[in-house]
Amino acid sequence: MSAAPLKGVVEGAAALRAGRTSALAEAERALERLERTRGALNAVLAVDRAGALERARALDARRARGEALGELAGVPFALKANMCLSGVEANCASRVLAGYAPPYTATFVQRLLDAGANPIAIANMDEFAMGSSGENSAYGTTKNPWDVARTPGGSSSGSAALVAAGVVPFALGSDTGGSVRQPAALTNLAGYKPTYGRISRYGLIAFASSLDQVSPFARSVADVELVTRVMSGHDERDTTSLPEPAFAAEPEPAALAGLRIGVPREYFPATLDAAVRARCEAALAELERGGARLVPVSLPHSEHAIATYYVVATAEASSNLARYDGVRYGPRRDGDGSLQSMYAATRAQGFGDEVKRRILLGTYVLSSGYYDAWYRRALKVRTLLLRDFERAFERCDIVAGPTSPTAAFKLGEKTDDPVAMYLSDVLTVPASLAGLPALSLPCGFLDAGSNRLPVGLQLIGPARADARVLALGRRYQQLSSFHTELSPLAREVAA
Amino acid sequence: MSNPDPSAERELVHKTAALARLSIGAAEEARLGAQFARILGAFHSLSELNVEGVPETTGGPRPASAAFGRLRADEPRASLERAAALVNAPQQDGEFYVVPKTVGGPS
Repeated sequence: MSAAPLKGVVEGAAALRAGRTSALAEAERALERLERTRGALNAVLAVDRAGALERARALDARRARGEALGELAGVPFALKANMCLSGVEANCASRVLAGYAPPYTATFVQRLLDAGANPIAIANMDEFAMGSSGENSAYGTTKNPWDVARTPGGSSSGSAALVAAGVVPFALGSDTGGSVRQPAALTNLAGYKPTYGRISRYGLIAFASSLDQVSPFARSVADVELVTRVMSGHDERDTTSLPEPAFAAEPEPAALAGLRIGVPREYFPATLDAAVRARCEAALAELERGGARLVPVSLPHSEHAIATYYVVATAEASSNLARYDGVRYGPRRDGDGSLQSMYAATRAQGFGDEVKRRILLGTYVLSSGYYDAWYRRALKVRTLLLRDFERAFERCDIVAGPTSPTAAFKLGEKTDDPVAMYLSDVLTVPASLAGLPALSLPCGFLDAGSNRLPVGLQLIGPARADARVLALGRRYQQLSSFHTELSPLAREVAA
Repeated sequence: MSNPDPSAERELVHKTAALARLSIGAAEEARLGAQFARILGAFHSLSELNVEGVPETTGGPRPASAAFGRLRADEPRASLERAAALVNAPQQDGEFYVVPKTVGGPS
């Protein structure tokens, strides 16, 4: 059943429209691959088998009647467990939301459904999207299909693992400080965080609202671009969504002549893993040979980005997560019978360690006596980080550098040291704080014992230049073939 | 803001946990207190920056368009049905969420 080459998004939808496959065959194949890899990866929290098969049959019936089909017709995909599909459990990998089945569907999910895409599963994640390794889920750790002893990155760990294992052609994650770009880099995928406001967050369960963005994973840039375009466009249900329709794709800049790629010295520090540095420098050299001009730039406040991010994001999280109190959803713990103790007991037993740490940190930086010194100051440093990018973009069209300072690290390696774990995000949080479009794409491999581990290149554009970033990404994938290489697990699944 | 005194670290966590409506045991308080101090210590570089006169950024890029953030007309529209809104509640009576008594002591 599963012996078939892995199809991408664009290719799969075209095959279906041309009648070379059916939505039912694609859904059944994805469900079978999901079951085959389930034990090895622990990437899935829920499977919507009945819903997926029903949607597939309905789509095939429409095709048989000669009706027009959407751009993503019959393409199976996975959602992160913080995304709402009516009636399907979205527990954010937390005990505090165990059993929560949203009574409505997110706008971005509805747009994918309207385009014919077929959600088959809800992917594992770090609890409430707080983590960089997939190890903070209340339902167990997700493994990397390139080496199951290593992390697939986080927090969108399950979504990345499912695409990298060849189960689905695309999956959705959410990127608050790098939660899609970093796992994309660690699993040889394209992961794209659009400009802040490009995709509606109505139906995305909030972590840090000034940062959270719905972001897709796929094996190619063309695929993440198509999925992003289908989801984007104004939504009156999200006041932060940009007041403009979906962006149009730009042609690849074939010659790259005249394109100025800014290389920030702060993104290549002495502490950067040597092999990661070498692969990224080789990718930049390839773009230079293609006609682009490399321009040294500086983002001088980058060293303060992690602190700024963890103050801002935890402050927002402490407020957003105040709603989990045992009243409206999730299991309730009674405490001593009073309302206050019910809140405290429900939250104490419902949240995991990292979520508690971040709620405490966020509560502290917002509390009387500390607000000015921490929270207000961080908001000002955020402005300085934004200005760094504005100045850099006076001298270049795109900023490029590594996505992650290392390749996939071993599971357990950083779990006892929150600060070391937070530093995994050092190269992704600046674009998040500035609200900029940022793409991670495969740029090579490094050797780790008997395994090869992927390395990711990050391209960051000015606000709303989504089409420019993605077009350059597509062009790089015409010049390179790293993205066509499959993980050992995906090769097994496709064999 | 890093505090080298373990009892002060625990006290800080204790107070903050009360504000955050989290009940935390003594062992957890000590463990989180030490981590908390280490995290705040690592973030201390923020205090060294001169941010005088710098405005605060509270969100992502804001386009100049007048349409951004504009509220829609205040017209009644269909919304979530009450039964659907209550369906995930741990305790409800068909009309309202049910919670422990808040006045006059525990019921």
